[in-house]
Amino acid sequence: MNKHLYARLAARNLRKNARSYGPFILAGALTVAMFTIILSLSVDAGLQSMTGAVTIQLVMRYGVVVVALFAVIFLFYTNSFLIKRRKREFGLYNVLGLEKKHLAKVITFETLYVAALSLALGLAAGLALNKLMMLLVAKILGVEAPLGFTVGPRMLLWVLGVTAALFGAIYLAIFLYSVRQVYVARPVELLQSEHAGEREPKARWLMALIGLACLGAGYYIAITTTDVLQAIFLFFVAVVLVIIGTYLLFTAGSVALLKLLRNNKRYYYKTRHFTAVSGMMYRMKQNAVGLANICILSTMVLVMISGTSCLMLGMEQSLRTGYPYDVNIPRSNEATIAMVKKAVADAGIPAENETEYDYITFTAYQRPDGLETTRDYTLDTSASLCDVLVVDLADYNRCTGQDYTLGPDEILLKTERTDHDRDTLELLGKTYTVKERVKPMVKSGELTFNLTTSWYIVVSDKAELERLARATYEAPNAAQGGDMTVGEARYLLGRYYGFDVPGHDDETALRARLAIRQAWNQAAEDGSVDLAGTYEIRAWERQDFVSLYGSLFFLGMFLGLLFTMAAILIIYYKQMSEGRDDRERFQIMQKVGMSRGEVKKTIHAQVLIVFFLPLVTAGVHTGFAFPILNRVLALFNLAGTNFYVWCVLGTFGAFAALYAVVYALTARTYYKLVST
Amino acid sequence: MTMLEVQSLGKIYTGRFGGNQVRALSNVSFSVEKGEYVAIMGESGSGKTTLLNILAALDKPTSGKVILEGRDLSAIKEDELAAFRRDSLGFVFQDFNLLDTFNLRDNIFLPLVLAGKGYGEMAERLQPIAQKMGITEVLTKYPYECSGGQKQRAAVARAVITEPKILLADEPTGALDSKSSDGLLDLFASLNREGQTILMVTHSVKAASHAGRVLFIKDGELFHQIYRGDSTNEQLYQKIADTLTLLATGGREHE
Repeated sequence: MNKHLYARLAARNLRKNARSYGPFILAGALTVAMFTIILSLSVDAGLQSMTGAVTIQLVMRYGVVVVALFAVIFLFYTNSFLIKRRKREFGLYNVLGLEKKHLAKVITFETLYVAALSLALGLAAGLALNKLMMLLVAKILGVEAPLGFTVGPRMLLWVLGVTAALFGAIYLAIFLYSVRQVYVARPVELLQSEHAGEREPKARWLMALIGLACLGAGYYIAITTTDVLQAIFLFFVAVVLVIIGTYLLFTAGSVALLKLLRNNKRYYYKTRHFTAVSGMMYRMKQNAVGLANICILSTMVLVMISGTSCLMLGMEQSLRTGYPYDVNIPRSNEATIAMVKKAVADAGIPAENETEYDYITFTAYQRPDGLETTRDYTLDTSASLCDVLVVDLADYNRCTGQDYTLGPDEILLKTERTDHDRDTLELLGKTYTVKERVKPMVKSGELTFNLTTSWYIVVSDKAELERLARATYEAPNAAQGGDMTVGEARYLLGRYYGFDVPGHDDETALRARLAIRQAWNQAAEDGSVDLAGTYEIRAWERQDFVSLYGSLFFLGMFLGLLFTMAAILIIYYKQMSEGRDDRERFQIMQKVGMSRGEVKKTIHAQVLIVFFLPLVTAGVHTGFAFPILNRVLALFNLAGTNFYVWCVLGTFGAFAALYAVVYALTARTYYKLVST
Repeated sequence: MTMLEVQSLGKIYTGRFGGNQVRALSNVSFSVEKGEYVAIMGESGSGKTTLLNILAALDKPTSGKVILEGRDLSAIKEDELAAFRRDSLGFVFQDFNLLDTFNLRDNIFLPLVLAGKGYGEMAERLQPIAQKMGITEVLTKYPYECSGGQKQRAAVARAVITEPKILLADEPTGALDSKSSDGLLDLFASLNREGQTILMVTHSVKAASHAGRVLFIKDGELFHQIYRGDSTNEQLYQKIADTLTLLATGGREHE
């Protein structure tokens, strides 16, 4: 046979199926482009020279893996959908005399065309957009991007090679799958395969119940987990449970529910319910997995974008909690602080809002009647693990501008993320009376990055503070420092020094850092000062934050976009297949005595339910994920619930709007298919 | 009493851009009496299906009118049309047109449910009809589980359960084997004996030979008609075959 016949046939097939293969090629190209971009970002020399490059590249590499995994699953899934739709066409060719090996040749050419087009378009778009993405990343990270290609020619070649190899392999797998589909089927089956799916779905009650249980358990975990340390681990457990639950409920649960409705004769045999219930049953049978996919993808997009944008937008708040002053010297002593003060003054930098106080910090376990320092740390007791900061009354009153008085056994108390409901508090062998619960507290970044609950305690005087400092060492198996000698106790009684620079100016703060660092290194070298503690400058730390949160934010948006595209494509294909199936029903119902308007209304309502079910479910998932995510975000000092609420609502609003637009656009294709 | 009257019916299909006019029917007139069993015969493309679609109010004629029990179909408003079709007409199609999402019982119930009838009444009406059609055992099965004959009998049940004024059948034996065809034609004959008016479009001589009167249509025009009179099915069969031969070998010369 003519050698070019297969090539021409393949080209003709693609053109004829342009409605389904066009979006497939486009989606392939977009995935290739996204992969190229994320891969070249992960090896970009320009990014490597930025501050926090290690963090950025770690995040980007994580992104590369996710995009690659996504590409495999997504392209394979889409192709299997397309091949299933085309079995009839293959059967016809088979009947017309094309042998299976000829069909395989046609499929070879088709796959070659699709792969070549997707790769060419994708690589071109990837290269073109690479620079733009680079600038975007630079913008997010707040640094100036070097102009020109920062990926060298050799690196570029490597990126192109890896991309081509990965997608070559994916398309090869797709090809093998398609050929297998044709080979295992008999011609008659090929011709009829589109009708093979018309069997009435069975109600799988057990599956539906398991699904319900999984979803319930996932939701329960998400709502009830209060301990932040467990929240991270349990969050993943909840995610897996909810994913399983979603798939089972969409596939088995929906059919079971509809069967229940159908068994209720008084409900079922009503004009409005009759066609809807039976129609939905078949729709759910054919589309449940696709809809569950859309739902999971949508949920991921929502959680990812709202979470990362919350981190990014809340970064400043997070920094201010962690580093309350422009310059912070925690866990220090008077000599070191005097050295720092002198260095800063010598550099000509005026210190504002100066604060200085003595304090101790230690770890303990919460008991109903007090704090326990002797128990061994194990994960199951982590629920009551607490970080404690103690200051004396004089420093407290001075730093906060309060005017409290305390008896020798009295304390002021402030707790975060937990409560202590008794009027007394047992602490290191002594029972204190809680005189008052206070709101204002000395500013300290010491407890804020912890996974535990925070306790601020104000004791009557310095002597009491020192007694506690010693007691923390002497306590057997004390949670912190138990094996230290008493002689080292003075290091535990730390001194906090913090100040702001005029106008919170970053440059001034960084200049102060240089001055402090110089003095510090000098003293460390010649031993002239008994150094203690460390120096933390907010402007300096911000750069670390930006590289972490910024790259997470970028990745969140990037993957969000990719997943949204996938969801859109699945929606589009669903609309198309629905349209073809509905066409016949549409005509029959009209002949049997439904008006055109009624038929349209019935079908429209069903399609609407089918397509907005995943969005609504995704919204509910996100809603239930809210409490646990909010707790995880609290670790990043983003405790403000309102802030995250707005991030979630904003993301959901934007996503829903996009979803509706896509629905409206694809619905047109659908009605064209139905009404011709 | 005249059940259906067709007056100088014409239908012209116009191409998308105004050109390419096709005359599907021209000046077709006939009437059907209450309780009559009429077959309309013609080759593929002769305009049979167009005629049936107009009679079913699924399509509109370009000229002429259709009067069912004194009511002009063209005078019925668009939004009443579906209800009218549901209550007054019953349909049987060549390819059954059963919905694969319903079992046979629900397929038969469909027009009644659309009319808002209660379950009790529907079940009551179904029982004798299902028995007569011989499908009582397969009522809970789905179309894909049934034979062609069973499907077509279910379709007939669906058509007559609304007690229509006229039963319109479009090539009802077209997709059936000969045994099922015979069964279906007997069913039609027995329905007709009970007073059901039937109008059947077919190009099967055998199917037409069960009717009381046969109309022949060619190239959109009514060409000839044969009354059964006292003929048996076999005699009518012969008459029809002769007429068809005449039609095929240039009947115009004898017109």
